[in-house]
Amino acid sequence: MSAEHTSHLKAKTEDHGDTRQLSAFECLMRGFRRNGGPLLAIVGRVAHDGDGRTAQFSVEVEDGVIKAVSFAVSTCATLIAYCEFVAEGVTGATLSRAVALTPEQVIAPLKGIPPHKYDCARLATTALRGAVEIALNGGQK
Amino acid sequence: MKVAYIFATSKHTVSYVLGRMILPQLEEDRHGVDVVGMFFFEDNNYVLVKGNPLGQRLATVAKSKGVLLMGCDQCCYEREIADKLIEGASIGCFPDLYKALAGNMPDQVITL
Repeated sequence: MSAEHTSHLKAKTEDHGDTRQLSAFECLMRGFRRNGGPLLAIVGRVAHDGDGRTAQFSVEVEDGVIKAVSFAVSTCATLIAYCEFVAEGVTGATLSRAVALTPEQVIAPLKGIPPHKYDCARLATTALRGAVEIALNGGQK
Repeated sequence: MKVAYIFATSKHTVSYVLGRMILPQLEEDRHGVDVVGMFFFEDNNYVLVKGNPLGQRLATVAKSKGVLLMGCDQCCYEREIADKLIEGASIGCFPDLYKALAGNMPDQVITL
């Protein structure tokens, strides 16, 4: 993963002057506030996993750059934390960069999550891709 | 009879009820029922952290008797211990707990 990509995936703290890495719990708490918020202009496909969890992202895009992100996901702490981390990480990113995001690029920087929960990162990135691909297609599903 | 315990209240639930009653009785094979699972909320999760003497004994018993050990995921993230738990213990929420117990469902769930 490039340094540019890594820095972009650092979730931002409430204090914009502080660029420290957020913990899983901080992402979870912020994700609770974002989860289920209003849908944005481009609504992605609903992604599912084998455990009945679902995730759906919506994005607002301007000139090929993601300006805002919303999501609606199952009530699973790890999934919400990963989705929040993804949402903050891709806000301000180009669509081409966001669509290339892999689970591994989310798992590595967000510390404190045990390996048996890493599948939630896969669901989060799959759901993000479900919205970004539609955006790349001009908003057509 | 098969039971599962949910350690929900704080105070001395783990140090006293688990540590001085349930766990020794399980070690002595005289608890009286089959314990198929234990789920922990809030500060009770600290017993599952590696290095906790009670937790190490619990891990040994759980392994030998097939007891599911699971901590509340939100509680563990808040305490930054989710990736520091004893071998065999996982984190999750109710759907994860019920899925994990699906093949060995308890007759009674006892909240302590």
